[in-house]
Amino acid sequence: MELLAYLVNVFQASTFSLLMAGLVAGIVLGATPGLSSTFALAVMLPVTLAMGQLNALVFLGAVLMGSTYGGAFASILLNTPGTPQSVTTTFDGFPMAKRGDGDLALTIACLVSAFGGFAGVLAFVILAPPLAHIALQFGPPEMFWLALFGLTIIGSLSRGNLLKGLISGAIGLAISMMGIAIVSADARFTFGLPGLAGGVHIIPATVGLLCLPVLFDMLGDADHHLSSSVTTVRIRFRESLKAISSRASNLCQSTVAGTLIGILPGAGGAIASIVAYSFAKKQSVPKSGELAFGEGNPGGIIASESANNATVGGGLVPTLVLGIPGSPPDAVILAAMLIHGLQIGPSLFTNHGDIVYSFSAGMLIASVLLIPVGLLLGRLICHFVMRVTKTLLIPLIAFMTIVGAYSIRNNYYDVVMMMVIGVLGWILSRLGFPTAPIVLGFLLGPIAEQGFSQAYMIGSARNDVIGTFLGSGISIGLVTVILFILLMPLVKAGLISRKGLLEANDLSKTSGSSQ
Amino acid sequence: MKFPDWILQWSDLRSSRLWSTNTLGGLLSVSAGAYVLIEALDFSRIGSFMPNLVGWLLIVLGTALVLLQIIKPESGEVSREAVSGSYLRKISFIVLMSTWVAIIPKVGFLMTAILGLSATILIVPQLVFKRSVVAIEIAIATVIFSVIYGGMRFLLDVEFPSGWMI
Repeated sequence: MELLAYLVNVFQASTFSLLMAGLVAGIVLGATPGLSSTFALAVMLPVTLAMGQLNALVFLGAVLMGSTYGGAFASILLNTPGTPQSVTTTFDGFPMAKRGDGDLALTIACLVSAFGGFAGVLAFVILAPPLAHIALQFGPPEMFWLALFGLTIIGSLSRGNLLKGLISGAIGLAISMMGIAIVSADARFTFGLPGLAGGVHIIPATVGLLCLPVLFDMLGDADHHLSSSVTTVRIRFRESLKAISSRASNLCQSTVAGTLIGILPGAGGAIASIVAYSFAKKQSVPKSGELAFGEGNPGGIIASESANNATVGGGLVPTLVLGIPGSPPDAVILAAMLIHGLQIGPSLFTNHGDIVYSFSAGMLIASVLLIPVGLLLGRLICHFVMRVTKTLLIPLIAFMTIVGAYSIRNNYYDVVMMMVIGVLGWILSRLGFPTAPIVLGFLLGPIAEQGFSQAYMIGSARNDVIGTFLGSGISIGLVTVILFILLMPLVKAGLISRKGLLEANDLSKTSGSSQ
Repeated sequence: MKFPDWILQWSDLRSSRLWSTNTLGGLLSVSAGAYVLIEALDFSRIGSFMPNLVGWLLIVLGTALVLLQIIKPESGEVSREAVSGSYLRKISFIVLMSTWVAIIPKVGFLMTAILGLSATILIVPQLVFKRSVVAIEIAIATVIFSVIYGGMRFLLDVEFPSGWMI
């Protein structure tokens, strides 16, 4: 009955209309290349000052939900991650758009985003206190191993030459080191330019690496549209449901991974989608006629989008229960709660239970409404991108990349770095170096370095460095999984060669006995 | 307008086999690794851990790429996708976009965008090249740009560099 009362709170005319407005605004801002969920929330925060507590939170919750999903639009249609969380969506989404299945990819992304978002918020409502306890078990060593686990995907993202993929990953790590180091405060690779002291921001780097090379190549071919094979753009609902239901285990494990990683302070949607994608890719056995991960497999979109939307609910756990924002968007939600006079912490659930549960009910409704709103907006945007000629599309994308790179920090150096990294990415791709591992190295490098440095300093102070790195069950579990992933190909290769030798011996014995 | 042959040859790797890209890529990786290691000499002990690791990684992997190419040469060509299409257009666009970015602080954000889009429209392959069509496209793009710029500038309060124009 109580749940019904919370739902009724959200269905009041003013709250519901604000929820819809937040959802649309979030999708549109998230779909704009370069504008992240944090940006969308920060821009909308002053708007909530005139609202009541519940209305403000429901509105911001809907903006967060919409912007997290909105990142998929630019990822799929333009190979430009709208938000950092949707980087892995580009790996399969853009190849699908190029072969004329952009509408299918968007429909799948919308459905799994709604599922991931709903499950994440539900987990928050049911499991908030125990999940918060798990989050507190993750210290620097565990974060280091988690980032290292994410980096193991580099091998599987390297199409063709594995060495080139690994070099790409190392280049990504090198780019991530630019600027003032987080732990040691060394000014690294800034070339004496003050604008580089803050390092390279994730948005200019990912836009430069993933979007600009495609933009340069797009201009080279003679087609007048993005995809010449697209005749109609429609909502491919049944096809999407079929694709999702045949990959139900991928959807469930990615949602669980997204929720759990969402509750870890400092991890966020980007690492959640990378880990979920990595798991899904390693487990996938392409059926006959099905494309592999990275070449346009819907499984890649399912893993990435369900995981990054599940982090929305997961991120609320440390934010509301402990007062520790897990990611930058959660920090804005936390700020909004403080601005509106809500005391964060375990007592929040007892003192302001009605607000928290009504807010959660609003998030659940927002994730359900994501389906009709997202599908309709998706169709419109997909129609525009596929139908408009390149003469308009290319300058528009170029302009949006510049605007997106600049508006993150109002820093001109970000635009210059986007251009430099974009040209570097284009040259590297021409030399056969894949750009996706560079992005992974760039995203995970700072998390791995910070975790390592802090754990090393703690270990040195305790005179037990190894014990610090391998002192918890979570660390040992993560190291076991990493070793399993790294050694599995070698074991497989050994078994295959042994089997081959045995078969060759059997063959020679049979031929010898017949002679 | 025609680009000099040496520029086209330098930028065109279509004729290049994987052996040349692997060797070149390996050498570049070794050079980058050496640079990272030299720079790391000036950092603190904790701050130099990651640069040292990445520097050695680049050197070892780059050397392995070059050596493998010598011992067990990889044949074939770089993926078609990376090397197809008109190089003249691609390079022109890279030069154009770099210039666009470079003059933003001097000329202003909106004006460079309008100049940049007009020049880009001239480079992109046209269905039918007509002055009137190009003029209409430039007008449409200018309106779209101005709306996005106005929205960002006045609704979202994003401060763009104004330069000596807007």
